[in-house]
Amino acid sequence: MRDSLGAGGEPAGAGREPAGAERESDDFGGLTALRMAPNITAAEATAVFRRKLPGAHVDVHEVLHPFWWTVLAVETRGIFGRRRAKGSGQRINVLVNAQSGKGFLADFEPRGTNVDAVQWRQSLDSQSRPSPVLDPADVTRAARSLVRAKVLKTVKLGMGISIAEVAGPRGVLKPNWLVSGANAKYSATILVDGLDSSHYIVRVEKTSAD
Amino acid sequence: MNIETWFLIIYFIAMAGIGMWTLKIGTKNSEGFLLGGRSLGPAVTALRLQSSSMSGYMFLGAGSLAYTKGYFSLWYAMGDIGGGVLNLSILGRRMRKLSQILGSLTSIEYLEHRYPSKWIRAIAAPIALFCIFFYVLAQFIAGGRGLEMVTGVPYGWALFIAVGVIVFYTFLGGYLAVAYTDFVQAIIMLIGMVWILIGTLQAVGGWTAGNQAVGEINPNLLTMWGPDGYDSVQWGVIIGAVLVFSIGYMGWPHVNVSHMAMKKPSVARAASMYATGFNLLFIPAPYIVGIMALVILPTLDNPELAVFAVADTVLPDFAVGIVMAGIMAAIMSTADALLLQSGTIASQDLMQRFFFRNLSDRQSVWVSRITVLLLAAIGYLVAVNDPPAVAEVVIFSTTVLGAAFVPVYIAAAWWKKANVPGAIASMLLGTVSSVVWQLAGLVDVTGVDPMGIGIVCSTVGIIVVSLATQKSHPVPEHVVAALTETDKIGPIPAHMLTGQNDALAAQVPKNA
Repeated sequence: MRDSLGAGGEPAGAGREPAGAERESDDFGGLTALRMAPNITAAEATAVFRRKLPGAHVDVHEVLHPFWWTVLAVETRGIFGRRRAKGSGQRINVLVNAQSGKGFLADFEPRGTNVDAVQWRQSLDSQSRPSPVLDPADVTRAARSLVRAKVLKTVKLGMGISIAEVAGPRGVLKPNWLVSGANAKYSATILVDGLDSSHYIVRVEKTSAD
Repeated sequence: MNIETWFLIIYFIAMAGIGMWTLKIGTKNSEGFLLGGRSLGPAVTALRLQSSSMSGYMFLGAGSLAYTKGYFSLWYAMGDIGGGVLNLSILGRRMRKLSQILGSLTSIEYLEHRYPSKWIRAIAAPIALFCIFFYVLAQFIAGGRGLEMVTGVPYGWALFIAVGVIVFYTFLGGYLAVAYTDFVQAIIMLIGMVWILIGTLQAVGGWTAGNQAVGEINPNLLTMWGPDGYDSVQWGVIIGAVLVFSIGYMGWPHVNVSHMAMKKPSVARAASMYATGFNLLFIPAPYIVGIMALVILPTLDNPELAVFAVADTVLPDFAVGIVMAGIMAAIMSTADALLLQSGTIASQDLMQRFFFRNLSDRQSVWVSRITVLLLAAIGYLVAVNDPPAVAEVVIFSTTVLGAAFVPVYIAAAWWKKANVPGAIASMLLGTVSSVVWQLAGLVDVTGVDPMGIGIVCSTVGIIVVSLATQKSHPVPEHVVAALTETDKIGPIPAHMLTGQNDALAAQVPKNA
């Protein structure tokens, strides 16, 4: 993925704009990344931490995680494609984790400020886990596969399904909060989702003997 | 048309209504960020796991085994009762977490992500497809037999209608596929089976009187050693009987996919409690009904019909209608889910992965449809001309799936050194050894069940080959890192894990 972007290759679907974002020319294959603003404040992230470790002294700072964002349009129709099912058309935002390749359906449209592509790449390099290199086709494939699985779960095989890419992959930086701290019993580091305040325990150590 | 048939029709219309209603509700709800379909709680996870693996076999196969072998059949029941707990305990939490970190949507894809090679999918997908076909075949036969019993139409026509309805379900949107209806089906299966058991015990004058009557037919039927007594015991076969549904269960891709849909890994613990409760209530029932059928219907032509025929004899007409409708719906729902899975394996895991990388969504759906129709047609032809015994079909396919996949799934979650050549060797050795053992008739010669041989071969295969090829085929760094992350399940205090979002594991920065 990094290679293909660095070489200035056009990601799949380039030329069609993801809604709510602009594309500007730079060394990111003609694209900028989008940096989303957190919905959760540092104080709220601290509160999440203190619910887990009451009375802890904490250190909190924002971290960004690189995702790919692509928009797919889904239509279902009768088995022979003659009639469209009523209300079948929908536009689905899919975020693909640039590190793991895992796609997620988003019930919102990512919004934020345009940032330099280098920042997106640095964010990818800063991840803890070495990851397989994805290319834009992999991103699109992962997104389509996820959307197809989601649609087939409900409409099954009786309807025709067409999935079209409305906008090709674009880099997105998703905000999270990294909160570290300790109370009398434990010291811990927790990653708090910057969008929905869910959390993940990164590290926990017992500080007291009991 | 008799009252049972009316109940059957009303029941199907009601289930269709629930399906359409949930579909309508489902499309109004937003999926939410980071859901990816992983939203099932413990009760639904457990009951889906059980209902998607038991319907056809439990209503025909279990009764048949019990009718012909008496209490010996409980060796299979013992494995069955423990199978759900073992599966959830050994694989549940780790597979849930690892699959999310690796970004896997299907259980075959999970294997390919854990053992990164296209050959994993190239080998696993056809084995799974082959065995799932046999399982679907068992559901077809069960559906046909059930309809024959309820409606009185000849087996050939009943089978045709059953297969037609199953294919219709598979093609019709929404319908019976949503988790809620799977959950409802499991509850109805349980109520129906317990109702038949109570009716049966009343008909034979109670448990003790029933056993005394069975003992008068053949005292050996009351023992765990089979109708020919202790002298004829083959311990290898008994061990295989226990293994087939206890650990063999862990090799079913269509069952393991339930782990990946759990809301969070900790759901596995509560789900195993629900699974045990369901199993303890449900599983012994068809075996006991099958044994008591020897007293109620001693001259039954086809032992496979023991449970259905006893239900028809001991329950009032309206109850037969309700119970049979529930049972038939459960059988059809299972078959429909398996057919859909076969279609997905054919289109996604085989066609798109190996032959047409840019297969369009429309083409992909057509590949699934053709696969479903083809399997249904072949299944119908096999089932109508010379229907094999359901118990044999299910035990054979479970044996092959278990031998091929159990060590691979367990090592995937628990052993960091398990690598691609080890996994390939394990799947091939497990499949070939169990199939050859069965087809060559070595079970009777050696007294050893193909499940035992298959598991030993595939376990030795993954250990020896993985260790021998560590240098030439090391496990990729990102897989080792994912496994290390998965190991963290244990030491973290429970109160801190409550509500944890494991998807964030893949967003931890290097400096954390």
